[in-house]
Amino acid sequence: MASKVSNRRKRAQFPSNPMEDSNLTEILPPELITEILLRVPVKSLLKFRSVSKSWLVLISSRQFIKNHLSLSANNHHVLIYIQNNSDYKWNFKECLFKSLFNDSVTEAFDLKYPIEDNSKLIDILGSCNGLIFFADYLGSSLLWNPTTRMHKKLPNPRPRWKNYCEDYGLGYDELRDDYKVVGIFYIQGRSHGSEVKIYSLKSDSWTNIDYCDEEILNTADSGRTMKLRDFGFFANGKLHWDTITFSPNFDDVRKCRRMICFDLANEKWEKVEKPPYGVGETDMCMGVLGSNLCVFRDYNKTQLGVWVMNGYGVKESWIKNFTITYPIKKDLCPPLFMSNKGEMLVALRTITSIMYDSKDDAFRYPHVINCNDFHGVAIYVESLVCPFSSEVAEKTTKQRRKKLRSKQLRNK
Amino acid sequence: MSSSTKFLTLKTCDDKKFVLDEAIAVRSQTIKNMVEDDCVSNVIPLPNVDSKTMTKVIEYWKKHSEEGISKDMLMDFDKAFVKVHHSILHALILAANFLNDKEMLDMMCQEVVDRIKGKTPEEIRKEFDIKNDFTPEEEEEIRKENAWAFE
Repeated sequence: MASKVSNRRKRAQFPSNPMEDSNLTEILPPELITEILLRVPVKSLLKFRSVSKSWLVLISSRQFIKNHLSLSANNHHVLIYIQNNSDYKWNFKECLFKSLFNDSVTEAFDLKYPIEDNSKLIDILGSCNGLIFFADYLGSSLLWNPTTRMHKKLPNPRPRWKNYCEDYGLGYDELRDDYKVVGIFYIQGRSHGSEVKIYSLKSDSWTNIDYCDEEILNTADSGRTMKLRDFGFFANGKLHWDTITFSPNFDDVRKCRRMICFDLANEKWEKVEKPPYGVGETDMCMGVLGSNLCVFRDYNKTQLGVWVMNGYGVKESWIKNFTITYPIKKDLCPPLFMSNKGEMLVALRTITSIMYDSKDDAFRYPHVINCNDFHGVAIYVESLVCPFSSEVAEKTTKQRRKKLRSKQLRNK
Repeated sequence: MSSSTKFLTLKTCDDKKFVLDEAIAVRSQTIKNMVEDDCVSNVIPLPNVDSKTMTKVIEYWKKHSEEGISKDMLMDFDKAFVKVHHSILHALILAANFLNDKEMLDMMCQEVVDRIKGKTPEEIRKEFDIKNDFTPEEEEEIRKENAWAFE
């Protein structure tokens, strides 16, 4: 028996004529086919869904999507959004982050904007595992996977107040394998406290967080007003924000800056230890480097310091990994993105973007074609992650199968 | 631990023997485990690998174990190494999987990906000898969901 198998394998591996060629892959077991498919780009996988039933099931499975994501975690794309001056409509484009670094010319490709009315003022407020979260200023928000072109409108969070201010963050709850949007709603300039709501993709609904840490989230007693800066940065299962607390007469703002985070698994707020900043450094913004939380600090408008929390939650692990001298003497925008290799993307208002490479401590001005201007930039990874709740997705798959089965029966 | 070079003898399924420096052979996690568990007698049988494939694997292992070889040289070697008929490529994937050499498996899988990513579902079925078990209606429906990917 054994010799029979090995003979067959031998013949299959070295066919005497090319006609035998198509049979030899028979011997690649399913786990190796999976191993290969995990490395295939998303667009090709979407085509390969129609190869066979077993490939469709494999490519749609949660485990495959997860493993595929972990292999393509460094495959970053830059999403560029531009508003047309004449009709105020939005245009979306994307280009490869890697290409900005390695190629002399980078081409930006047009992306179809997922909703019809594309003239509302929007902001991208989160990016996690290939999903992008954006909201307009009228309470409607959207989860979008630009790679698979799938999107989902989120239900209205219905905050307690009218004319509220809002801050958002998008993250992944690994424990429940669920994507969550955290929304913080408050009234600007008044110390009403805040309302925190959390959207779960699995349940497709917003819920209130009952426990809202008064000490961390608002300072109602002292009449101070706290404001979150920017959207939440996702690292280590938590969403992180920079905060500024204003005293009633708006003085001494700098002393009241803090970092807070929201744990998506236990839904609790926590304080984050700050790095041991150097003298003369001032705050710029927060960011994520690789998978670590980082803080960008300005020094005297000449240098940018990048502090990285190398071991999550450990104060001593904050290290100033990079000190970068600005290429030009002017206000530099906070970096948009930094890869774990020390490649940084900075966008300037006047030119498309500039890139910094820590390997040779040099700045580059990439040449991007099909893109002259921009309003905003976001970074996302290529993934198959579906912006629908799994239950809903499964239901549609089941319905489709049922439909097809009944069709087949009818045809018989 | 002795500092002198230790050699292992590997026997492929077609009864060919390969004598190899142990330090090189342990690039295979499978062989490494056998050596560590001390269950190596004189000859290590590799029932899932034939001699032609093993020759290629050893060529790769030796190049990647060369002292002082530059990254660029290795890159050029790898590029040339994967340019083989796809029957050999698949045999190498099976061998890398059995020998548990992750680096090599990664590289060979990536080569298959580069060869198939631009192909149509029909071409993929031919390449992997897969039977289309969809009805034309089913296939049409699934294609429609991502029609743009076929453009």
